[in-house]
Amino acid sequence: MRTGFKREAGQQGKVILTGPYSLDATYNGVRLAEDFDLQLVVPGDYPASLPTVRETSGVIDPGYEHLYLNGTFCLGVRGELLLAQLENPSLVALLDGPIRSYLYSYLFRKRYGNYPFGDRAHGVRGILRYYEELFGEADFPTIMKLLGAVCFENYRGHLPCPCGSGLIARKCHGETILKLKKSGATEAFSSDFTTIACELTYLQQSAVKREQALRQTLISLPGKYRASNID
Amino acid sequence: MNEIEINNILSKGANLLDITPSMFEEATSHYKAVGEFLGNHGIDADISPCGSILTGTVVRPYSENEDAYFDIDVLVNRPGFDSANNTPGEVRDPVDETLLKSDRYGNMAKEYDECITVEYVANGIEGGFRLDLNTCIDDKTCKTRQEYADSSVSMAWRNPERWHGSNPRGLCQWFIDKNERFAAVERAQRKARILKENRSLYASIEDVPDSLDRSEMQRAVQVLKRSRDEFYHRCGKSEKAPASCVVTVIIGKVSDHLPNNTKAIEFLESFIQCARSLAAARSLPNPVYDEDLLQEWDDESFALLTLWAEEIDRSLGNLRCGARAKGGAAAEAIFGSKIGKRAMPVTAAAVVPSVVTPLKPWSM
Repeated sequence: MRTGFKREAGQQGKVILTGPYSLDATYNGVRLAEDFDLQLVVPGDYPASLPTVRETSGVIDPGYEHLYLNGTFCLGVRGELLLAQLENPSLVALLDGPIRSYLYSYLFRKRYGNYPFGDRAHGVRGILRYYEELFGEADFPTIMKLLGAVCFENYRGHLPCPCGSGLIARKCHGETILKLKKSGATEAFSSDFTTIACELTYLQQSAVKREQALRQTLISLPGKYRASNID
Repeated sequence: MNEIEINNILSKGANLLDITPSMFEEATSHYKAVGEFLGNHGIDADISPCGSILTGTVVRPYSENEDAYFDIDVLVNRPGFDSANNTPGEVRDPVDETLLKSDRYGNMAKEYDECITVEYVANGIEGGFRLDLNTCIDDKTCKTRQEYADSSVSMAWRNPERWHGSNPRGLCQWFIDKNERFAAVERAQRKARILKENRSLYASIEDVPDSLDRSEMQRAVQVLKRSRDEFYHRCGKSEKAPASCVVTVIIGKVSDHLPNNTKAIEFLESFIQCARSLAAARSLPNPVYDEDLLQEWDDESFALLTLWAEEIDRSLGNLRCGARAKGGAAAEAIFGSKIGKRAMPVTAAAVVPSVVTPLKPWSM
């Protein structure tokens, strides 16, 4: 149910919609129903940018792991959401799709301690998994090269494909790259790219620190315990 | 919805999960036939039902399939043996071998450590049975409470072969004794209804067995057993679900403080309170046997019990609030999707929930 939303003008051309949302949804034979109050902030350049959504009646625990720090919902991979929005720019579709799925998932997790849609990846792994499916590639560095080409490079179909296959782009991932570049969602793809890159950088730095600490520990060992090739 | 309407939903759901009179008669004839068969093959054994079929709290096993088999617990009591002078194998082997090697039961029987099961394939639309035949001997030396000593037994278990002291019939009798004052309320009316619906089976009210009648207390146990199965399945923790005897004992204990005309919903409310207090007390003595029914429970088991109590509380609250969507979801939380829909009034059941399309992975 999604009637009774009030509309008011926000700053910078934004539109703020607030109202009740009665969830009555089922998945795999498990029906859940709950009443929420939602606030949607629709950006001035909608549908080129994604609306933000928050719940205002206090049903959702502020410590829930899939809330951003400002309390808005992490509805899914930004690139995926924006692609869907550009293909079907409809707030009703947003409410009946990602928002319904999010609220159902929240209730299920809260009541039964697990997520209802199986062991789907979370965080950066989840974002990578989405682009893995999109590009049909399982190798993460390859996915990053392709996503980087979408976000930051001009497309040249006759040049080698960014994936490194040796084929020209036109005969490899060219069609997908071109489609994504023309989708209008490159800002969201860039955001996903930055998120992944930050996480990978953090992981790389952590690995370097761990390796240095391990090396220091090994060097400090008495000679008889030290392997010959450590230095 | 008011309390009477909610109670009607609970009773209807429990009734839909219950064994039908014709199935009850069929099950009875099956275990009696096993006894006769063993007798005809020179094995002296007294066959008697125990567990939920005896306490009148049987529910169809939780399953995705409509035709889930009813589990019927049966004691195969062998007179003339005692645990001091006989091994479990001496008592049990002849029973198992006779059934497993026979043309009649060989293909239907399967041996387990605690019992031998005989499975009767689904007959028509009502589903089949699985008789759990527990071979045992009378054993008054067990750690049983004195007033129930006559029914205490030692079960013959395998792997490793050992005697397992127990008193399942005593526990059933304890529940039946507790249930009697609740069952006496409107018993004649309920049995008249059973007679009206089963004219082909019974000629008069006197013919309708008491074991088919269901008091509000028995209905409450049936509701709780299904709610338990549904909740723990949703949690992905079915292996942590409290045993049926735990549910039965809790309801038996809370009944002490309830008047004769207590409704199933009020039993559920008392159960919720008791379940919450158990999470703190962490102990539930078996009323007929010297053991703690929760001794194997870990922290997660108690945490889940508290969550289950919350789920029942929420479901009753949502049924009370009257909103069709929440009420429908509450009935399905208690009984599962299929039975929950059928238990609700037609007008409420007409509200169809949306189907969730799961979104792809989460972002940060």
